[in-house]
Amino acid sequence: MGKHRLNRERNRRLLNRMLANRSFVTGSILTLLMIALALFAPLIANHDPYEMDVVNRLSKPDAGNWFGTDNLGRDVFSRVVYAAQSSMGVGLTATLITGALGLAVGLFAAYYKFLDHLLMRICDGLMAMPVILLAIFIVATLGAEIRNLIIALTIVYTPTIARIISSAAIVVKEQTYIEAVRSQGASNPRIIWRHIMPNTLSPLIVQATFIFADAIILEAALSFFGAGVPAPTPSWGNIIYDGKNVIYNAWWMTVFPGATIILCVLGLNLFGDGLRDLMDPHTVKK
Amino acid sequence: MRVTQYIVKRLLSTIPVLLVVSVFVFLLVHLAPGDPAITILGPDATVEQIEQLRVELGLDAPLYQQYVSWMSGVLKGDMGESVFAKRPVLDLILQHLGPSFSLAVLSLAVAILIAVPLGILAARKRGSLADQMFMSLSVLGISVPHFVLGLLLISLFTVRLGWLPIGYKPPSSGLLVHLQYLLMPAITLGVGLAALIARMTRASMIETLSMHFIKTAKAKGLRERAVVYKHALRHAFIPVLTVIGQSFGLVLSGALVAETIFNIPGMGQLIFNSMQRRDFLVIQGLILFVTFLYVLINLIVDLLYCVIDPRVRLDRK
Amino acid sequence: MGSHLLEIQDLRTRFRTERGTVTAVDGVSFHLDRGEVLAVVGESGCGKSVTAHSILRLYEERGEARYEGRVLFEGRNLLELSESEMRAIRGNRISMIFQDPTSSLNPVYTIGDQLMEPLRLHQKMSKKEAHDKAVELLKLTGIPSPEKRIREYPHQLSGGMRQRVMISMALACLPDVLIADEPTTALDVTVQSQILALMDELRNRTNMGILLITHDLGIVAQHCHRVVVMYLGEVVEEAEVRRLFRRPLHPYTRGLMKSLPQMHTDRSARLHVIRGSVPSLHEVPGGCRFAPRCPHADEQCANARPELADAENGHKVRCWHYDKILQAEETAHVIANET
Repeated sequence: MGKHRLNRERNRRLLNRMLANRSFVTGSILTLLMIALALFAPLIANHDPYEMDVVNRLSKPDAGNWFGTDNLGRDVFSRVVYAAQSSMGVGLTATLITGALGLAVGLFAAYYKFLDHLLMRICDGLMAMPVILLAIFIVATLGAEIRNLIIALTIVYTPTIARIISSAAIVVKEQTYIEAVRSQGASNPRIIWRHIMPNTLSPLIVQATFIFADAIILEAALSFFGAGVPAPTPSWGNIIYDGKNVIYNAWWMTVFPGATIILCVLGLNLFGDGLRDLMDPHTVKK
Repeated sequence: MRVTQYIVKRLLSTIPVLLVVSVFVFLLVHLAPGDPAITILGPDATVEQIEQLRVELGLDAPLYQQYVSWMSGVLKGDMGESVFAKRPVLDLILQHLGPSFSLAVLSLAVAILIAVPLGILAARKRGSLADQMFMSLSVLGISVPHFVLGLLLISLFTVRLGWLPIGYKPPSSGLLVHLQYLLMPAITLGVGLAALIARMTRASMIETLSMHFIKTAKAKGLRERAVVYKHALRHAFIPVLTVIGQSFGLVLSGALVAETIFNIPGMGQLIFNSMQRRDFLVIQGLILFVTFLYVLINLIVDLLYCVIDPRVRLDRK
Repeated sequence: MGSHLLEIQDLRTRFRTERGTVTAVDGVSFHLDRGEVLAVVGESGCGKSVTAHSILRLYEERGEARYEGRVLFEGRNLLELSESEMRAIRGNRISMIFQDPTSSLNPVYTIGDQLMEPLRLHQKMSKKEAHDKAVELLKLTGIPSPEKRIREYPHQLSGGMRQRVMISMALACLPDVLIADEPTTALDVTVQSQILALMDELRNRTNMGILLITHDLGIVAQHCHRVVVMYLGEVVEEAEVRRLFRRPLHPYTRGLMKSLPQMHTDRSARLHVIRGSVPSLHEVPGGCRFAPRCPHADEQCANARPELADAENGHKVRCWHYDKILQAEETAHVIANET
């Protein structure tokens, strides 16, 4: 009976802290907006994003085309809205796979000493290369498809997660309660899964949020180089790519998708910041 | 003596990293679909021509043999020759190093000059309106992708106002001209960096200012300015140095984008073009070179730590 | 009644916290004379440290702290001085040393740099002059090979040596008052007595007054002339050291003394503990602040706050019934001894 009340009290306090944290609130709102954009795209867009109207190509924003039209006469607003699906979809998928893979690699490297050196060296090597270089390289090699895009993003970001999980896991591993559990006869996989892993989840979630944000930027950058989501599927980055050569007279093809990227990434970054504040016992306000 | 020992030890320990990178890059390039020879000769080439070029380039040998012969060349300082430019790869790289280097240094300078004072100010006025604005702006700074900012700057300053040019002029054409061309790209890269550096500066300053020796300094009768800039800043700068070191990686990444948008003949442009042309020796050589630069920069940053923080000396374990 | 070196009159220091305003020092008055050591004793949270910091106005006044009352030094109220006038006093006429010498010295500058700072600032010495004077000061506080040490960094010295360096820094400009906030708490026991002996010797030489904040009654007995006992932001007793130890008047002081194991205590007797715990500054009791924990408290104690009054020969106490309590306890003691 008392336990229930304690839990409710704790949840209420957590809710209060969440609401008081401005980063978290603003970030959540922005992120939810973007997710809504992706989920309800067919309801929000007022044109078919693939429908070409060559006569009206590159026309300025007006009542009919809120964000103007692109070089093939397609409505930029609808394309930007639908692009949320591909840009965020790619980003989310890559983040989830990266999270899982990085978690596994990090945990194993932390627990098994001999794996540690090997894996960490590989991670160092991959992290030593500039991110966008590596990504473009992978996509250019494998071919410009969404699947390869996700592979590239995963290869680029997994080492970062692996390292973070690994450091967190090493700290946990040294704690006395792990010794206690081991002396009770728990097997290694059980120790890793049930005891060490849960304690690495909070840095994982925070980092995953930031990686999601980075992935969106990276996808856009790759599209900018023609190595992103292939046409005609719209992504925020490839709308800008299409508008690259006409930026002098068709600013709307850069500004609107650009602003949308900024809002989305901003939302995710704020959310991640807020999440980190909430989860870190150090930053509890005095 | 100890310094040289340390440097040598560090350089040696980077060999495994470089090896991993070299293998990875090599494999990726050679396992890629598409034959370099075909790309180079064009779609009208005959089978004999293709075969001949393949033998010339050593592409007919088994993979590991190609790798060994490439790496042994690299260790002797010979990265092979670019198929397109018909020049040694290393020369090509060094020629393109200059503009990238200028851009990187300028971006970092812009970033540090903006970020550090702002970070200190935000820390001193913690919790005030100015501080909150600072935090909002800095998050915005990290959220804007380079290429978006770059394109926006171009559309404003070049297209609309005609104030700043796009392209590149080397320092030999005059320092001011050189800077004029690099200003927009430097700002493009610098903004993101500045946000990161400023946030770290603020956090580190806040933590340092709460330390006991700050109270001692105040109890000695020092003015606020001396307490902050003499005592606090040097101590607070240590983690900031870490961020600056990591920034080099970001600058190199960003350079690829910036050089493409602003048409600067640096390493970014070189690798981009090489990838399109399948000039594989250049690609391999360049990535290896950039990785090596990274490692070198990390080394320099670590050495700088020893200068700034007397608790860190080279003979520590 | 000549003028004192340093006189605190009715000092109040308030802090703004998330839960409201807290008055950490609530009407504290005492004085310090030349050549004497005044101890300020009490448990953690009683406000002794805050009092010390308030003298030099070390808290950020812009948002954090508000001071009231008077701190009289050289005929001026320190609380009314401008910031630049205050700066001329800090480290120069009134110096302070703190509890933990490890964190109180800046790790990125040499001992010499930090030592020369007050010399160059207040006495406008040149680098060479300051350097020589710094070496002299290190010698004065008993640091061996000062010329070598002066170029070293704090982390290269032991805890005791660091505190000596702090003392050198504090005495650099020959201040009239030295405030020492728990100067030996963070040090090893053997080093503690060395540091205190050093402070005694320096005081004899310079005739400065020392305000010694401590919770250790042993130190008070050995090195101090007069004592002020604080509880929950107030002074509850003030006396010469000998008088206080011979006949403590306030129940709190008596409790503190009884809590100390004595050489002649019967081993089988239990150690005395003052019942209850110190309340938070957010919930200060009305009436006498010690009443909730005092075994002799009554209605009057709960409702009315006693004044700090003179009991005998300059021995002051803040208690309604100290004389009755004293009589009762002494009678009980006599009875106990006779059975």
